[in-house]
Amino acid sequence: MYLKRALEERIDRYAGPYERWVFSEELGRPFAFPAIAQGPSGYYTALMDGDGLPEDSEKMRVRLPPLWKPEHKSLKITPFAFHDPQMNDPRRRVQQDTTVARMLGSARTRAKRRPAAISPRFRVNFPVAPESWVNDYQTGTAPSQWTPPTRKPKAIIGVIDDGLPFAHRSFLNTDGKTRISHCWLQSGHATQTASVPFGREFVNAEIDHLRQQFPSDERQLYRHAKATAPDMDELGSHLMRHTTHGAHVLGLAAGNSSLFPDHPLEDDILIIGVQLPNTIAWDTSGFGKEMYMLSALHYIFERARRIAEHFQSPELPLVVNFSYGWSAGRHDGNSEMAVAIEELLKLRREDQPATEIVMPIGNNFQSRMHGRFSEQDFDGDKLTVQWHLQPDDRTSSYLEIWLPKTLDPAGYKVTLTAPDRPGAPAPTSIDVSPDMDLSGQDDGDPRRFEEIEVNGDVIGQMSADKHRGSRWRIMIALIPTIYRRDVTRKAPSGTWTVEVSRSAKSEKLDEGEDIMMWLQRDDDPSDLKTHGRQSYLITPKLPQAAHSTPPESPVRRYPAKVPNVSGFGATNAVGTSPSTTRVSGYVLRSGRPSDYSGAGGVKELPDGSYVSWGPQPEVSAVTDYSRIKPGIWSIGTTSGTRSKLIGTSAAAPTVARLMVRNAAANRPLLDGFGPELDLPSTETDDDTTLVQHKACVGIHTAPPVTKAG
Amino acid sequence: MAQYGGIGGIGGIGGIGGIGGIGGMTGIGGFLGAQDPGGYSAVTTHGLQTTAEGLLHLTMPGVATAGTPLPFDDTANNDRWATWVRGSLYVSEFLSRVSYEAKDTNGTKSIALSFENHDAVELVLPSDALLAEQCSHVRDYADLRGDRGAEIVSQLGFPTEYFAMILGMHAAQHGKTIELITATQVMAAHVAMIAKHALAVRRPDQIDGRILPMIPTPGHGSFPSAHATEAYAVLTVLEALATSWDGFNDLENRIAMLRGLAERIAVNRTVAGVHYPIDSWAGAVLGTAIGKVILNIAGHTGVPVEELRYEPQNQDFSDFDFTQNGSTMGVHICGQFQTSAAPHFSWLWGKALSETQKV
Repeated sequence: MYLKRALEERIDRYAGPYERWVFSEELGRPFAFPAIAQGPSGYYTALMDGDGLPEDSEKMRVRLPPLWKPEHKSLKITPFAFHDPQMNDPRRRVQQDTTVARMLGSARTRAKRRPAAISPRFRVNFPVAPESWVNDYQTGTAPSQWTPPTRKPKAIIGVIDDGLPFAHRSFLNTDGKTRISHCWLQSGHATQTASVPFGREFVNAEIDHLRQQFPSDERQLYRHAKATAPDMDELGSHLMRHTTHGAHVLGLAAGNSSLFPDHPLEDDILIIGVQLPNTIAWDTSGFGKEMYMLSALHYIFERARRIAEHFQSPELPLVVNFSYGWSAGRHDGNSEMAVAIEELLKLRREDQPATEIVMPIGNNFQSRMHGRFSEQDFDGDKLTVQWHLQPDDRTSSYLEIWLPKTLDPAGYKVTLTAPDRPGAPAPTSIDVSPDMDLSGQDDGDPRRFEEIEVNGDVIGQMSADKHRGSRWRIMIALIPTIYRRDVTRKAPSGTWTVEVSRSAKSEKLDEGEDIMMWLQRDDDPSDLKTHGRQSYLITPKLPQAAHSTPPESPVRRYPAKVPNVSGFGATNAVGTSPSTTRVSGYVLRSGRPSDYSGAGGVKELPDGSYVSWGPQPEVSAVTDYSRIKPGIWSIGTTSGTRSKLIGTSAAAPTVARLMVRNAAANRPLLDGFGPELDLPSTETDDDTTLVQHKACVGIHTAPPVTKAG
Repeated sequence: MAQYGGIGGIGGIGGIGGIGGIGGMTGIGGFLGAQDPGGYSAVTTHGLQTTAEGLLHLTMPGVATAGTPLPFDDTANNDRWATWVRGSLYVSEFLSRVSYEAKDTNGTKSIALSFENHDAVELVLPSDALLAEQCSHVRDYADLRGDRGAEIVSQLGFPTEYFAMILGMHAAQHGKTIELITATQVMAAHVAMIAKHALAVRRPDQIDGRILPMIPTPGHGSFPSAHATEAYAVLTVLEALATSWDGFNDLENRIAMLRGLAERIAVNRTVAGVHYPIDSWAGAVLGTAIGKVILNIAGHTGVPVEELRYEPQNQDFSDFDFTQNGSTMGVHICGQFQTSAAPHFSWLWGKALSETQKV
């Protein structure tokens, strides 16, 4: 049972449904990232959504990471870290949700005293490990050991990823010095004093010094630099592995090696790297990561500005590769991350038009993780969709339902019914309306919560919230489908039924408006041992209609009619801002889109024609050599090794690499890119198909940068 | 296949394996049966007999003519002997010089190994508390099982192929070098078993059920690691041999890789879940000493044997720490000695030296 908290201790007054779920012991916390499940440290991270900057209060000390913004401009979204100054030992384990609620309450009270158009809203993120917390953070200072290059760089490439092998030979310039100017390990072992609020920053001279100390033993180098730590969950010892996601991506984006013979990066293109905490890849919810991601972007922008300032230059061309994401979200450019990314890109482009953030479109085309339903899909006043949870899923599963922005939800409710078996919970419903207990005090978004219980134990949470005050979302969270030690609850695996219903008087969906559903990803691409298993959607009318079996012909990708549950619209929810460069993947030998490569949304108009909606890919890049040789090569963790990665994560850095080379040579950023991929000859050549094809491949095609083999 | 260490031998059919390096043989198995023809098949035996019957009528009667003697007690005969016979000679030459004492000094238990009555290596028994602490390292290393599975399984026996890869070796050109590697491994394995027997340390999977090893836990004690002992002994011998060969243009790279390989073979056993890092420390100490002893009795001068004592502490193992930080991590140098050449190892060393390829 979810215990009622005192008003000032209710985290749901200040934060969203994911925070409530992940931070509350009776809800999803035992199944969260190990560092959270055990009860984390007292150092938190968060985003503030609203004008101004978060400030210290008697209950909370605030740290702003290196932020980039033009003078006299205010940011709409600000990442920050905070802790309780009263706490004698922030390392002690705390009861999460209530502590966080008290601190946020105090910050909010202060912020509300200032005149502002909207009062701020917070999104609490994953905490910082005590070992990563910098005791003496020198806000706004330059890292002392940074050594300027002899000549002004022509461009900068930023890479945000995991497990970055920053000492790898591929990143040396022709003088044998590293081209990595700055590299921030956000979950690194903190030094006493630093120019980052947490983690460890390595700058060029430090990396060169490490390479001198350990000229022939890179693994020992990383151990010595404390860039690997098996006892710190957020850092881990992934650099001891043969390869990491980050090694592959950083190599493709910025490495020079015999693998990339035709597109070398010259010495005057500098690299700025940020290594995210492992939590980011581990956690399967759509929460907890934005602060780290957004501070990573700010850090790259800020350090790039410092480099330019050293040469008394305006901002330099900058291309950032960010091969990460999650799958559920608004997909309308109005999520916190989308707003923040758009803001950063727009503001920097005022000074330097060659500013890009390149992201993968995602790998969920065949995963049945997205559904789209119009008024025609209602049976009277009911819309029924099935959600299949696999057995032995050891992480929480999440479904988000987004109502049209303009819809008045009065009378709408969502009912969740468990698979029909003994011991299953009774159907649980939630009204799509504000709970006045929670929303009466102007504490953020209107919202409501219900728990799904079996014999008094919570196995799930339903929530309805008007996200960022502008669009209603119903979110369902369910605990794992397997018992875990000392946890006597699990969710039944099998087919759950989600019913959206409304009263006869409720507003109906307008023509062209849809109810959208997305599932969060629940797999483990970086082998972090999450043991998650991906759930998927089923439409009862057409249980087989999805893209896991190609339609009509074994070689055909585009159906005559796109079903409700399909890969069109199953895109990376982080890369949805209009100015982000989204990259999809294709197979080099066949010139076809890769089977898994995500696609922008398409929908049928009443006249039967098809149009696209929402974020679309702009460029296709190689993700597979051929059907029987999936993936492409890049470097491994240590010098001289290579590794293969399959997925659009590897498509984005190809594009980023080509773009930054163009920027450095003063060419248009897409110089050398081809037009969109041809429609495969096996597809029907009609307008419907062409709309689908464009949603898969975008309008440009990147040449391969990795040697085939 | 590989867990049946000790009874080796594809030997019997000349030319196929027999000497070391064919996966699956550990302990003394490396030499057993090598070049031992055993018996012929029944058909061949029968055929030989009927052929004898058919041929003898072609010969003349009378006494046989006397032959010449072979050299007496002379290694000049060694090339005549089957490999397994030389194996016996190496074992007896080496082990007749080894002795050990299991000591209990005011509650500190240790084994002291000596060679021709020179103190060589003393290994102090780790405490039960230390073993429990070390289990967390073993669990952490399990993360690398996905990366290293093929190495771990193919290194269950003597990992000679891995050394051969680095030195560009071929059976046709390096027969005696391979025999030297095998001899070194066999000596190291024997000495390690003596130390393991005396110290009798439980394997990590008996202390911590979460380790769940990916290979069978061997039927001997954990400390020191025989794989680490053998790998460091081979590294020591091959480093001296490859240097004496004066045959590579890139010797420095190859020696760095030999060292990296010795470390990796040792650490792979921790990844597999059958050894603590301190087992690798003890094995590296013991193996280095054994390697130098072998160089001494092979007549390779100028490599004194350091007398080492290892008191285990809760450290992870890496070659860097072993070579750079050993003195602060429990390895103490207590003296050094040299010992005189012995005939069979000297013979083998000389043959291996002549296998340089002079690249």
